Amino acid sequence: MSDALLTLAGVSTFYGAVQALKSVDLVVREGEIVTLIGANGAGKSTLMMTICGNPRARAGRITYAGDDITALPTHLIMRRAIAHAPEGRRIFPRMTVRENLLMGAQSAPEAAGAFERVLALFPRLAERIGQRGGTLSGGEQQMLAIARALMSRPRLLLLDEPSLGLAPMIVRQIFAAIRALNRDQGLTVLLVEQNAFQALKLAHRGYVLVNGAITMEGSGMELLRRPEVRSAYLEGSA
Amino acid sequence: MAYALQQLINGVTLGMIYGLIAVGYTMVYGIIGMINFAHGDVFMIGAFVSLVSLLGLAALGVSAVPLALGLTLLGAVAISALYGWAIERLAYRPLRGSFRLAPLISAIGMSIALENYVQVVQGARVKPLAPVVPGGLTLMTEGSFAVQLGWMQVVIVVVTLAVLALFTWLVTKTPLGRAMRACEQDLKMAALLGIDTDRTISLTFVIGAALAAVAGLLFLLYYGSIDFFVGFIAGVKAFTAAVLGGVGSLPGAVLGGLLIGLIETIWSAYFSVQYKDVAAFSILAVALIFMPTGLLGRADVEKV
Repeated sequence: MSDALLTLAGVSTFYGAVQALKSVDLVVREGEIVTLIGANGAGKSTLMMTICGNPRARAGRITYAGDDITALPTHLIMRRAIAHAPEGRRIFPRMTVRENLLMGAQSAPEAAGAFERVLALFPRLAERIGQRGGTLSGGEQQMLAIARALMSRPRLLLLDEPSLGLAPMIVRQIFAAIRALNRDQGLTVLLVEQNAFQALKLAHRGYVLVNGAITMEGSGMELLRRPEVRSAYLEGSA
Repeated sequence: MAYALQQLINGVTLGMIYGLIAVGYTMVYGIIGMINFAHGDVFMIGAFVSLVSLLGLAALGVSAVPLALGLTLLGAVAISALYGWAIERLAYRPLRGSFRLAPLISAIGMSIALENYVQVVQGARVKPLAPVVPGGLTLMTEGSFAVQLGWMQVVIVVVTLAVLALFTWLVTKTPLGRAMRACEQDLKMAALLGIDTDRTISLTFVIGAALAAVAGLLFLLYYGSIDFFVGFIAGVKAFTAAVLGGVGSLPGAVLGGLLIGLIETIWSAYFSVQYKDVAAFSILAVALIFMPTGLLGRADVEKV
């Protein structure tokens, strides 16, 4: 497919002798929101980190914008307009909000105006601009992690569980922001979510990961209607 | 009173030198979580390069002291920085990701290698240097005791403060400093933001080595004699200073250096010179029992 931005073909990842990803095939097309759902420990975060080259895929190929990035070091992958807001937020706790955001733009050549843009998206961060990251609330830290990822004006945004531990109102805000970025700026998003219902509603397409292997794929609405998806991931969460 | 003031002046001067070395220990610890045991030897290399450079410039007929000192400073910083870079490349980088003790052992090996290299190349005897910046001020006299503030002591304090100010600006205000702090707080995340973490770690060693070189030059000028073993003793003292101040904390390293310098000087003046190291290390031990993270170290609790 010519408009594929990111392609994983037969990607396997190991932690020592334990196989975390089993020959994963996945495609993200330019301008799409693709979600990856699965139980805890299914390998969702591993898949995201494998795209970033840490851990490195032991087998298979990862292609981004036509280039093979499988063997590139992490920092060179991330300089190709890929941004990752990883699991656990990982903001820099002893840096101010401003410095955290500047770190997001540190290695990006065209970051002009990024500051104003992300602060307009998350006005709450503008109020906290001089505060140390570690003193923010969980929701604010999550906003900061996403804002930091957006500072580099990415083409592809990897988002790992942005709703984890957050109040429903903040989750709605964050999901609305993702939708707006995708619609207005054509940002391509690969989203990992444990909140499968919201994620599948938001996404164009989705994949289901079970024990490190893709078991299902389809449009968001299609997956929402599948009984096995409903029973495994949606019971009680809607 | 006059005697105490004199000891204070001497202690602060010595403490400044320890502080400069301690910053290098604490920086490297902050970023890779390991003590660079070869750091004291970089300080020694800095002192030797300074000695060779000062004697060489004198032989070439450079008689203007500020010019000679300036050139020596640049040369010592450049060459020691190269050593710092090489130590990271040879003793640390190949072992990254291996078990934690491995780089520690390779750094100790590096330290022994550097000491023996200088011993072979420069000889084992103590190398003297005539005073380069003689003279000073007599601040006050009390009976037959005169409080002296040597010009050399002024130079040490001024140079140290200037270097630390430059260094603080680098760490807090520049993109490189920000990248260094990011690597210190979360190495994996820094790489996810496109930071070349290997390069940042290299630069941390280089900057630490440059500071140690400045300390080496000042030490040489202050004491007027060095040998291949000065790096071990000064290194252990500066390491103690870094731990006392709270390892990982930059202001803590300077504070710890000042305290160790003062303790050592005051103990020598009032009790006995022979036991000055015992005093310094005893106070370290007691301080760590009551403040395990050091004076300015932070307990590792972060809001998550």
